[in-house]
Amino acid sequence: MKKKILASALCLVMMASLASCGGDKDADTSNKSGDASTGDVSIRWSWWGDTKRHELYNSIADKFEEKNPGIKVEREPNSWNDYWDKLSVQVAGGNAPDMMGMHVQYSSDYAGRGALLDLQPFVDDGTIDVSKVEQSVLDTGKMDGVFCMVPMAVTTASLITNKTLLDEYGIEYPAYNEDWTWDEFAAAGKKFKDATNGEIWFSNDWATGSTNNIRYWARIKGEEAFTPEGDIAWSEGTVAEWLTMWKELRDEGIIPDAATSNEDGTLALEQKIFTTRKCAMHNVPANQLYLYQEQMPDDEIILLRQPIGNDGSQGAIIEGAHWSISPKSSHQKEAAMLINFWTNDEDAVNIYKMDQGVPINNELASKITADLSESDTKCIEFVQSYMEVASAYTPAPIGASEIDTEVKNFGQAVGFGEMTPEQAAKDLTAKAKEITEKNKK
Amino acid sequence: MKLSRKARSGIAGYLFLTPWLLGLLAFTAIPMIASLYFSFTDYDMLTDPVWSGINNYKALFADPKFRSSLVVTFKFVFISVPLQLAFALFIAVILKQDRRGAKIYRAIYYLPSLFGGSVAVAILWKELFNKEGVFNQILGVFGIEGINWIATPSTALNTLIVLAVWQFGASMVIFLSSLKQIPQDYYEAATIDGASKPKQFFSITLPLLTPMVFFNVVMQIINAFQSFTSAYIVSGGTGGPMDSTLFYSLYLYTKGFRQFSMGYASAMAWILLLIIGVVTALLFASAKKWVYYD
Repeated sequence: MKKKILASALCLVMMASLASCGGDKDADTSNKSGDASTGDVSIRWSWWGDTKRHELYNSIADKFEEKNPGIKVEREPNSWNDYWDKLSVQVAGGNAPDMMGMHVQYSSDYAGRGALLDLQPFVDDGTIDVSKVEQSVLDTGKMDGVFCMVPMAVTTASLITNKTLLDEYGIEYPAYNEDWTWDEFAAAGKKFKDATNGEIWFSNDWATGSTNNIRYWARIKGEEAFTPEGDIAWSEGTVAEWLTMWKELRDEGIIPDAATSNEDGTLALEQKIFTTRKCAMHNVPANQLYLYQEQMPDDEIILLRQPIGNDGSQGAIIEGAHWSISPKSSHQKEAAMLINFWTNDEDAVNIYKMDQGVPINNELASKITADLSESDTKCIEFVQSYMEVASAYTPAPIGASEIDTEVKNFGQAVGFGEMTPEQAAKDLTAKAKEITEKNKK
Repeated sequence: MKLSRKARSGIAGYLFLTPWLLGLLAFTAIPMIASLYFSFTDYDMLTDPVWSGINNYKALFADPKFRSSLVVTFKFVFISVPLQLAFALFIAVILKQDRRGAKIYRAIYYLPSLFGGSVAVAILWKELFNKEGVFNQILGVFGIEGINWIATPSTALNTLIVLAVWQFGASMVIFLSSLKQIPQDYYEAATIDGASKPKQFFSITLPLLTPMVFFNVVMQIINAFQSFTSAYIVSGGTGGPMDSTLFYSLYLYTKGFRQFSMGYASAMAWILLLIIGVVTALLFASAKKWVYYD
């Protein structure tokens, strides 16, 4: 008898553990798919971010449900890494979220394989209203001529800068809406290093960063990272020059050694060398300003432009993440309504404010400026002025995430002294060409 | 319909097995067959697989990263497993004596293995071997300035090996139980014959333990070939710096889930299966020479 009870108990435990495997732990609501009896529709919305963002987006979904009775929004919040790992499997398994975030690092991999829905029909029938959005901003959502992504907001690259530190050591820097050249940047770095006896680094290392940094430098040199046909557009010499520049800064102690940079890349925001005052500048999208300012209440954090070429040429690009819809979604219309709500509803915009950058609805963007926090005001002023000189860029072809890995690896090879900048530039360019060729067939 | 008692208990048996059988089918057998098929296709997960014959396998052998990830993995396996087992045996011999509190010590030494390949322990490791980590602070006491162990290409893999060696508990428990089964009379006879303690260890203990050593070697090698979590967490998913911790399984994962080359990743998985199969077969073949069953 005892044995039987034990066996049934074990059986129950096994069943329970099996059942729990299937559950979606991330879903915030208990609503499963549409309830036929009431005509309710349920859509899934997936994004990446941190706790703070999850709170914001949850309340946006609540507001949307409130204003659109009959539509339930299931939320799938994720961290950045988990988001992409999960999304590739979801899309492969045919259960992609109805509305999903896209980022320049991955969007070509999805769009190029038909995983993003053409949104033009929803613009034409008025479901998604883009009348208050600049054309150049909308164009960032076109992949291969198809409008398949709506920008979440507009942001630009920036140098978040610890003003308190720079002032303390008497370093001069331009105003938020003024440019400085590479020579001026390097000279300021040298002066800062001398003033601090090399105790504090001037800037983080961009040469081990993402493809975006090479794109920016190629544009200064009058090139681009990729051609519209999906080939590599940067020249070997340009990359060699870029890597040499950063090697010199590294050798002089103006930026950190390679091991420190490598570690910094894996650290959470509150542990980064910038946040712990071991470095005065950090190259990130402007919309992240408020996150750093919150971590560093004793310092004044400002935004500076990325340097321009010594001949005055600009490399700045319009950045920002996008929303897209899965072609496999059975509630495309409702997902489009949610994207429209994000873009054009005053309440929604008032919740997310500057979280992703300047809202793309011009009217609402100017309305929210009234009650913004100090760092959000700085950010909006910075981005709006930088936008005047920044321009759209040619998106990456399929294989972008693989190329990104190589950019980091070869940058590090120079950093650790394993390769000369010339050799790394040559090998990186060859490798990147190999990747684009492989994905063309 | 009335079933015989025997038939009924047979059905009951299968019913109890069902959860496991379903698990085997759904999570092991079917995925394995699918991956074998995918390994012969060009499959990006988003569009349908296209048959490509042995192209993936050809590409693999021309891929320098495939080779470097193999080198990293082999280094990891053939350094960490012997070290781990030697350490486990050493501690097991010490803990064998039934001193006061021996049980508590056994539990304590087993603890690291409970954490297993967990994420938490990998994060802890990262903090230990940082530039500002505990390890460097200890070095600092002796006036040595440490480097950033996990972010320097030449030392990153070693920190992961130390992590693997530290989790020696499972092998230790197995050694401990078989140590206790060695009859005490052997040692008594050896002592009377005048054999020293080390002599006793190498001539009595070790030969009698070889079946367990063999078992542990096989299990740990299979495990070590598939290591993933520690490298993934410590390197932030990149296998960096400069691919120095790009384990085979981490590269496979990157190819499949990050770079949309699931066909390629599937081919990698089958090559790994083959490698593990060959290594295990070699071990079994060698067993005749050094494993003693009394």
